[in-house]
Amino acid sequence: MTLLPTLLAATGETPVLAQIITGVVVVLVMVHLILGGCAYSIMLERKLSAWMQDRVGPNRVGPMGLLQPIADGLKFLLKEEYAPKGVDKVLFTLAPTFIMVPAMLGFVVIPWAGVLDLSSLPFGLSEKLGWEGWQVRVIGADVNIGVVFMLATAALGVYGVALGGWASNSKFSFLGGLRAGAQMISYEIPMGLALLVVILMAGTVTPYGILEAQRESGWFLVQQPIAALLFYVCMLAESNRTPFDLAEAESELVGGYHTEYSSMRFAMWFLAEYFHMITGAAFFSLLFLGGFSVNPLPFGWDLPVEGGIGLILLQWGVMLGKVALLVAFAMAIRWTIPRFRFDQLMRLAWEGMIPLSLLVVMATAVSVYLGLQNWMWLGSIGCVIVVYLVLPFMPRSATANRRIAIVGSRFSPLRGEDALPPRPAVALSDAAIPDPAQGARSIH
Amino acid sequence: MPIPDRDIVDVSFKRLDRTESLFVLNVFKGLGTTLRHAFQNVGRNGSNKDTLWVVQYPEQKRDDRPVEEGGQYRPTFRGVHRLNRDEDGRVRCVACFMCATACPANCIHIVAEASPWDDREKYPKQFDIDELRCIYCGMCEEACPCDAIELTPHYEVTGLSRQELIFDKTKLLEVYDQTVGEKPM
Ligand code: SF4
Ligand code: SF4
Repeated sequence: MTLLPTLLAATGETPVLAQIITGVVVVLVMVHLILGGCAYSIMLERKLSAWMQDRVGPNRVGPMGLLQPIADGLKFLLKEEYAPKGVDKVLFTLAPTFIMVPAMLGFVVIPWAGVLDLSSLPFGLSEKLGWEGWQVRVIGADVNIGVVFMLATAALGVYGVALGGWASNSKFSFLGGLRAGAQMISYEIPMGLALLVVILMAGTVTPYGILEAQRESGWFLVQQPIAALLFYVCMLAESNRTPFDLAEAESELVGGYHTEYSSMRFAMWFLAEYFHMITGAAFFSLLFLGGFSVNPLPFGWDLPVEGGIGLILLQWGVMLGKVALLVAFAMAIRWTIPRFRFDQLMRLAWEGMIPLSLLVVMATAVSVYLGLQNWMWLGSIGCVIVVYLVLPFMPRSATANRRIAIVGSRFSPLRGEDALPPRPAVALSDAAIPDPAQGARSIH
Repeated sequence: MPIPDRDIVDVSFKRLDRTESLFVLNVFKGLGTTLRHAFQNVGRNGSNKDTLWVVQYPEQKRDDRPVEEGGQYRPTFRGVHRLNRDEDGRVRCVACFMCATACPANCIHIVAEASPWDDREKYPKQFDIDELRCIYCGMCEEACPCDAIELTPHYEVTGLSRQELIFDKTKLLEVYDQTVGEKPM
């Protein structure tokens, strides 16, 4: 009973308890919203891919096929929960949760809206509870390490994939897990550096601090387009989406790390992937799209930060809209770009994105030191120019031997006069058939 | 012996120029293509004649479409069989076994018997066609010397068991009775 008064008295005007209750409400609402969103983004992805490929997509269950996710979910529940022989039962069961939980943890530190004035609660709720004049932030947990927490949880996701691959006792799963490990380690670096750019620009790691900085300098997408691009690509890589889905490359690895999974365990992998995508999109809109802000420029009108319940809902809607757009964009990319080969993936990270992100970090650091961070859009253009100048001197990939001997073959691209007459078949010639006892001899 | 240069083909790719090797612009070019298709098809449930012109099967059928738009050309479509009757309502078949011999799927089974009528020697006591084995090639129709077996344009043949889909003489004559209007013999 002593805890309650302590909490109520904790910070000057607004008691911690009110903030905690808000946090719990936000988390509860968002978890369910995002889980439903996951189901429906699977549906959206199926529809979108169908439209892009001139197909129709699911359209039978319910009006316009809108009940398809529910049918899918039911089917997952009714399937047999199968575990092959020789799997590590404990890890096999735990692995999907190991990827699900980090994905769900990350979005706790996302601000979904600004500061809510509790006086505006409906039904006179604030008077009854004595909450009048109190202000709370619409966020799961306004921790002061903010985006660092997010980076940490995002990095945890790889454990699930690696564990799932290991526990399945199958070489396809194992290869998938290994690939995911190598890939995530590589893409963590440019992601961290892009995040560093944001932290440098904002001068803080708290989510609201970053939003405040973006209201002053314009969205970081405008100020830092390169960092935004790098971050978005890394986000795709972190959530194992095409073109970075080598861990589950179905053309090579059957299903990759989830080859041996079935039923609800498999559905967990699937949900986690989409959960990751939604969380990643939310972080992207927090870091680069100004959260619930609607004006990308440093001047002009914008939604106010503090306000009543109506404004908060509007801000929430803006944020969700941005997330939905980003998720749809990730899907469009998935159905446009083919999967990388693994060496291409590694080269993109180590020879392309990491040097580029280092360049951007350097440019940002200098301009922040000179107090010019509001001119970073110019700095970004400068970075692009530097890249253009430097590109011809970058090391190329090892030259493969692309000179192929095609001796009078019908596959020879040489036509007409250039074409050689086909060689006489050996069996028709009088040449002696080589004697194996004398060792192999060339018949040419 | 070294391979002479004349026999060697260089299959190198074209070098990417500076803009191409940044990928970004080309990715957006690709997105343009896919999104154009997406916007052409969104919300139309496959009824866009330029890109996607789908027959929503149970509600729409190919029969409803003109042939130029992928509809079914009924006069020559090969669907379920029928056994024709002559003017007196008797089965036309004379149990000559030509169709059973011609059938590449071996799915026609005939038991012949002496005919009760004077104008022919035999008639089929039993005439079974396994509609599941049949490949609807129409050879039986070609082979028949007295136009007794024919394929109708009906393709929706369903049943709850395999046995049900072995059509016997009664059933085949019934098909004739039902389809004689639309495809006269
Ligand atoms: S259509 Fe072809 S396969 Fe079918 S019964 Fe006639 S001959 Fe045999
Ligand atoms: S070919 Fe014609 S007449 Fe001969 S058995 Fe077959 S259906 Fe009867």
